[in-house]
Amino acid sequence: MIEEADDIRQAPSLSYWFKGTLVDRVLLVLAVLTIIVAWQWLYQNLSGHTPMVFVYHDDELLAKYPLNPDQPIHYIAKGSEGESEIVIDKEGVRVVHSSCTSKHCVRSGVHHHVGDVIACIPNHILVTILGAGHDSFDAVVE
Amino acid sequence: MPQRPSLASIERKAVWVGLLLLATGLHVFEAALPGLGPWFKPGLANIMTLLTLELLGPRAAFSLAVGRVVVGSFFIGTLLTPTFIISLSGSVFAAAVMLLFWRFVPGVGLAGISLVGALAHMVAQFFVVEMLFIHQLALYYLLPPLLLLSCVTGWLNGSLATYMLWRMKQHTLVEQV
Repeated sequence: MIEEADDIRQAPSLSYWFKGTLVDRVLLVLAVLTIIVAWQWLYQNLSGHTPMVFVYHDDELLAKYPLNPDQPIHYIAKGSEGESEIVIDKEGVRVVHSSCTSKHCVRSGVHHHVGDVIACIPNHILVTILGAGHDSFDAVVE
Repeated sequence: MPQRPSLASIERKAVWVGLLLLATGLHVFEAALPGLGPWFKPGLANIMTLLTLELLGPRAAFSLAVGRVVVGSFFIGTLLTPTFIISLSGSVFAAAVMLLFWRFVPGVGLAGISLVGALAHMVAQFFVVEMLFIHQLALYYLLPPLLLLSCVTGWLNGSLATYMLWRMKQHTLVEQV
């Protein structure tokens, strides 16, 4: 036990363990810069249009509604394992009920930003907020 | 009469099993954490993969990365479910990328290896979800913020692994392995 205590006293300071090697730091900077640039690029392509809510089941577009409608919209999407009930209102879009077991989609709450995604993997349902002209963007990505 | 394995070989296997059990425990612990949804976990179990890589080499590290997902999924009840497939694909791809960096990038430390592993894990998960479960490219809009979080957790896990390795190397048994 005494030896162990001595070892701890000999250990370098906390910052020593978190600074990494020079190569590590270069990798970190490169990774962060790449992610930020990619993020900016994504959102530049997403913005500039009227935000719309798109509901997909796999490849199939099930529904397309404007975000923040005058009257709340209730939409029931038929998925692979049952139904997912989606509500679009002034606050944004949310999944209020889903037949999946995990309910991650329901717990993720209200989304109202362009680029937000609600995914229900068991049901193969994806709800996303995009600009109205997103079709051209998808073509670029593909 | 078959040749008996050497003591050193048995010791290596014992250390590997010990690390696998620790990794499995962390895998199960992470599954119980209230995380940021199904997409994001801190990746604590990857610390054991990093330690295995340094102590026992790439083959042992790769088998541990696969083994802890299989055994861990058995305990949390997700074996052969979509969660298991997503987790396994992320773990295998992350392990492969980490081994490549460890082998071919001179001067890289555990923090850097863990960083690229965390990023590879996240990208592989999204790719598998998009290919197998939700066939929508819009899914990738979620990726950038989660990748930034992966940078943080990957770096922290790698730093923690560096410290743990330093502590473990003071232990006689590990020095012999």
